[in-house]
This record gives sequence, C-alpha cells and structure tokens, in this order.
Amino acid sequence: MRAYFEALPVYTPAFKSTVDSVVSVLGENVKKRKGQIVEELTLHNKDFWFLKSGFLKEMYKNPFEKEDALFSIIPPLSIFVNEDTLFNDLHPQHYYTTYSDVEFIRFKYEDFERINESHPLLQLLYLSGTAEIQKNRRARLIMLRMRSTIDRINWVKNQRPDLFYYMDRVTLAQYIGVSRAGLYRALEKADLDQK
Amino acid sequence: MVTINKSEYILKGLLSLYPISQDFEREELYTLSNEFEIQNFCRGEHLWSQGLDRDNLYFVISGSCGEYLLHDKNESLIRLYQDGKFAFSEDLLIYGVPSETRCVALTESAVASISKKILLDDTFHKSVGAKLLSILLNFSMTEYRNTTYEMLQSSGKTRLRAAISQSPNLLNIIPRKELADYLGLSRASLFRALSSFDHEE
Repeated sequence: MRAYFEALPVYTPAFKSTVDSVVSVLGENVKKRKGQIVEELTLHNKDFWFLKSGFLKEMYKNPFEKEDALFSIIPPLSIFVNEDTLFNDLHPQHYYTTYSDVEFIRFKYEDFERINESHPLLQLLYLSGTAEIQKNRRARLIMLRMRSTIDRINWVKNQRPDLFYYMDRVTLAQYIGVSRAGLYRALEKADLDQK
Repeated sequence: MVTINKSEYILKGLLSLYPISQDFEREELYTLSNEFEIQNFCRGEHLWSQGLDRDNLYFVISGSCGEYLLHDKNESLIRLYQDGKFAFSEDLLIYGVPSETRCVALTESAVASISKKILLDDTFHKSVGAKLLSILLNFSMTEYRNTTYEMLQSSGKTRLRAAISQSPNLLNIIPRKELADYLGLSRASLFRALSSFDHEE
C-alpha cells in the first residue's frame, strides 16, 4: 500500500509520516479463493479496501437486463470503496466476486478520520487517489463510446494490458459493452483482415 | 403570477445537493447563492476551456451545455448539463490541475457562476463552501458511474433508454448530432432506436 501512495502524482517526502500512520493501522490480510462473492465487501461499510493481489469483478444489478452485469474489473494494487455507502450512506448497490485467488486489506473509515485530524495531508492523498479513479473512468467512457468493437478491443489491449491479457472473452465483452456474438464477429473479422 | 428570481433558483439547486444539518447552513447557502454571477452563452461559447482556466462552479439556469474530452486528436462528449444542474471541471475546481476537458453551450444558455475563491471564502461561507466541494466530488463520481451504466448497454435502444432514465428530458435538451456522439451511436442507429421507441408508444 505504501508503494501505491508513493506512485500518486501528488506524493512528496512530506507525506511520509501520513503514509506511515495509515500503514500502521491496516487490518490483517484477507484471502479468498477464486469464484466467491466477497461478503466483507457487500456489507454496509465506508472503509477503504486495498487489493494486494488477484483480480476482483465489481458487479451490479442491471435494470435493463435479466442478469447481473459486470461494472468493472479491479486489478491488483488498487484501492476501492463502496461508493454508495461512502458518498450517500446507502447500502452498497455493487458487489464483488473473486476473478482469481485474491488477497486484500482494510483501512477503516474511523482510522481515516482519526489520522486525517492529526495529518491533514491525508485529504490530499484521498483527492489524488480519487482523481486517478476519475481519470480511468473518463478514459473508459471514451472507449465505451467508440462505434467499432475492434477499436474498443484495441483500446483495452493498448491502454489496459494489465486487464486485457487476464480477461476471458466473456468478461472482455462485458467490459467493453458489447454482446458475446458481437465480440466474436469483430475478432473473426480482424483475423480475416490480417490474413 | 409568482416569479422566482434567479438567485432563488440557484438556492433551490444548492439545496437539492446539500443536506442541511445546521440552521446556519441554510443562511450561508442563501448568501452563497447571491454571489453567483449570471451570464448568457450563445451556442458554441465556452464555459471553460482545456488547460488552465477559471476554476468556477457553474449552474445552468436555462439551456444545455456539453463537456468534451480531447483524446488522440479526437473529441468525445462526456457529460451533459441541463437547466437546474451544476457544471464544473473537476480538474480545475477540485483537483487544482489543468482541465482535460472543455465545456460549451449546446444551445443558447443562461449560466450562473461563482469562483472557487469566493466559494471557499472564510468570512461568508466558512462551512458550506468546503462541504459543498466534497459533495460535488461525490456527485461527480456518482455521475460517471451512472454514465458508465448507460454505456455498458450493448444495444443502441437499451443505451438510449438507460440515458433517458437518467435524464428524462434528454431528447428535448440536446441536438440529435450531439446525442449520437454522447451515446456512441451513429446517427442512423440513433434514429433507428428513436423510431423503435415511437413504435412502442
């Protein structure tokens, strides 16, 4: 988690004691096997979660389809939160399933508030981390607006190779907002064009 | 006939976002609403540009505006603002970095604005300004999430339906060309989706 903070654009050595305080109160590692719903993350909580290893699928109930849908894939070394609870004090609308074996840790919201009082720089780390999430969302929205499926696939391949080389085709189709058939058609066409 | 003056309209907008927990907050919001300056924008005029620009919070009184993001020499319409909505570049207003987006009036619009400096003025709006910024940050995160739901719908028709469920008067506030860009559809697909709506009705 220290490495995560140090990689944020806003980080300078002035943040060291703030980061030390955060790292010193982190909970124990939680390990889960592939293919499970992570119950800890579906409960009403405002905590910050750090995925140390593995991939998580962030799922939501799609009001326009029968099946629940993939909202996003969380790669290792990411911080994530239950936005409904943290921002609006609502029960989480999203839930998380393990896409591989995972290991994560919790940073409690009470600890965040307590450390923030003695280390106000924590607020800047929070803003910087949020800005990174926003940037990723913005970039993904651009991909989702591309009209050609192969352009979307290429975007993931070039911009998110960490996800592309890990996702199976079904998950990739969900991630780029196309049907499975549409994905296969685009891949077949790209293969033919190459030949 | 009862007329509502424009600062009351802004106050109404502020109250729709801001959960009042203390009586003095309502008063401070009222003072704040009077600090907004109103300006008329013609179609195509900028509220803010890419790079370093005014770190204002905007409130659309009438009309509609679109926020564009430049990428790989192309531009995409990423957010729409209609009357009664706040608009801002989170880069400028919240993160204090050059804006990656620009915002233009899509139709003739009346827009009120206030600078970050006045918003965070310690004397007049000591508590509400900072709280409002954090509410706007949450609001912006939630809005991006909602837009992602829309864009994850794989058919044009469902995508349009999802967008309308977020903004019920969407079809009345922006021209069709911008709507097609916003939904990531060709104009032909947008018209097909619209006509299938008409058939359903």
